[in-house]
Order: sequence, then C-alpha cells, then structure tokens
Amino acid sequence: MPLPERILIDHSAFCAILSSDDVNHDLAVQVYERLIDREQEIWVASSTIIKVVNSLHREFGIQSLLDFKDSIDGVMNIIWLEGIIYRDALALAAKHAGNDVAIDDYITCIVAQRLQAYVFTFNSCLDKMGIPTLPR
Amino acid sequence: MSVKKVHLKQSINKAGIIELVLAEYRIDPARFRQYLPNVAIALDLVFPVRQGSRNPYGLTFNERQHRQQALENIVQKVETNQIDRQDAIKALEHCAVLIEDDNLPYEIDRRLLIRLLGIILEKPISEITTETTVEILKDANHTIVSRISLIRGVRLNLTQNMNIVSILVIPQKIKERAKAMRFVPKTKLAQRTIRDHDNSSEDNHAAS
Repeated sequence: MPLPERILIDHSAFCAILSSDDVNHDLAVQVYERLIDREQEIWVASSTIIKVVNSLHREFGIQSLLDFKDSIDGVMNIIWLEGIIYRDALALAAKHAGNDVAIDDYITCIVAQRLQAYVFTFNSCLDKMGIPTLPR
Repeated sequence: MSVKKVHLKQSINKAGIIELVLAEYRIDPARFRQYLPNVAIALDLVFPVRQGSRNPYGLTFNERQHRQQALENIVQKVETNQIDRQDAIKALEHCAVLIEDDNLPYEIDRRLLIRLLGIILEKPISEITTETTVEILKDANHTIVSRISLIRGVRLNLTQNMNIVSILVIPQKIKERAKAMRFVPKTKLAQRTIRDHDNSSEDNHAAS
C-alpha cells in the first residue's frame, strides 16, 4: 500500500510511545520515528492532546508537560474540535448503539474521516469501523 | 468589545492566524478553495501537493520481494565493507521505492540509511551545516517527478523511474527530529505507565 500522506495519532498510540513498559512500546516508537523521518503530515485531535498532557502533568509534573509541548510544536498539527464533530460522533454512536465503543473513538473516527487520514492507533475498534490504521 | 473577543485578540498573534488559515487549507482544501480561491492558489505554490504513488495500489508482491531482496544483497555488502558509491545509490533507490510503498523493512534503520548517505556524499551528514543539494545524475535531461523524505532533513529527488537525480540535505530539519523525539522515554524514570490513570477504552491489542 502506498505511504499514507496524513496521519492522525490517537490516545492509545501516545500511551504506547510514552510508557516504556507498554506491550506495544517498541513498535509504537518505530512507527513514530518513521512518521517523523518521512515528514508525513501528523495530526492530533485537541481532545487527545488534553488527555495526554493531563496524564503527563499528573504523573511527571509540569516540566514533562512543557517538554512535551516543546517537542510537538511545529511537528504535529492540532485539530481543534468543533461542536459539529461532537454532534457527528454522537450521531455515529447512536447509529451503532450497543457496540462497546467509547465516544472518544467515535470522535477519532469522525476526525480521521474529515482529514482523510490513517489513524496511528493500537485500538482495534477503529479497524473494525473501517478506518485505515497504522501499524498495518 | 466582549471579554471573550478581548482575550482572543490578546492570545492570537500573527503566526497564530497563519497557522489557523493553514490548518483550514490542509483539512479541507476543496472547501477552502471554494471560499478563498486566490489564497488557495498562493498556498498551492508554497505547499505543493505531494506527488502520489505512481500506482495507487502500491507494488505487486513480486516487485516488493525483488526490491527487498536486492536491497538486502547490498546491505550485506555494507556489513562487510565491500560497498561502493554506486551500490549505495542503488540501495537508496530501492529504499525510495519501498518507502513510497510503505514497506521498507524495519531492519533498514536510520543508522544504516545515514551510513549509505555518508558513502554517497563522501562525508558524514553531520558535517553538512547549510542546506545543500548533491547532484547524482549530472545529465540535465532528467526531470524530478517525485520527492521522498529518506530521513527527516534528507530528501531524495527522483525521476519517473525512481532514479535519484539529487539529494537535498536540510540540517535544520535534521535537528527537528531530535526535538520531535524528545518526549519519547529513554530512561527507566519514565517507565511508570500513564495508562493506569486513564479511563480510556483502549484495548491495547498486540499489533503485528
């Protein structure tokens, strides 16, 4: 498959990159390194950023949060979620009522569709929803 | 003026406005073009649309296998120090094809790519301090039809047949990589998982 041009990183991928004892850590770092080296267009949803910085702040303090911000500045694009994305995610959730999928994942799904992006994730439910994902 | 507007005015600088416009252009270029066609044309010139793969379906199984095998043969020469400049160029051409197909084996890591580049450039890339283009195909008839980022800050300019016309080295971009990797933990200090504190739905399946 051709190299995807645009990638959306979800929370599970950040968790795997940031936690060196995560089962997917090595693979996540390899994939992330490649995204950086290939200069692919990297996107992150504002809701994901908030979750990541919240965890970093709570776990490692303000300096790690500032380091993280400095590290992604100019490397990743942030998509600031508008009301319409939440509305579409809720509609999708209602359509798939009964599935064990979190609203966050529906948001990722909607954002990925809007950006026409592959999602860098370790969350299998996105695959099941027909969203192209990395690692393949 | 409302409090919200005053706050917005204070927090958004010129760079922030440009970033907002660029984000809109990247997210939905078609809609952007509808409303601001002239700005879209100007942005197209500054941020050219990346050349797509020659084949939207990627390489065939046989093509991929052939490229990977040919690359592996050259890599073996690197290990025994029997590689010359032409071999290194050929290796990077195989890499370019496999990168475009998103199938470059993980064994072909950054260190190896830098070593191959060093052989071609005849000096380590760390010694290049200003933006430099190194011509590989001297013949002026070769047209560049695509560009591949080999590693951040090193771009291969390629012909239709994926032959390397020239290599562009941008030291500033190479430095960006270190910055982008800074938040990835390297020490035991950061080993505690942040997942424990999240109530997210990730099922953390083992990807392969």
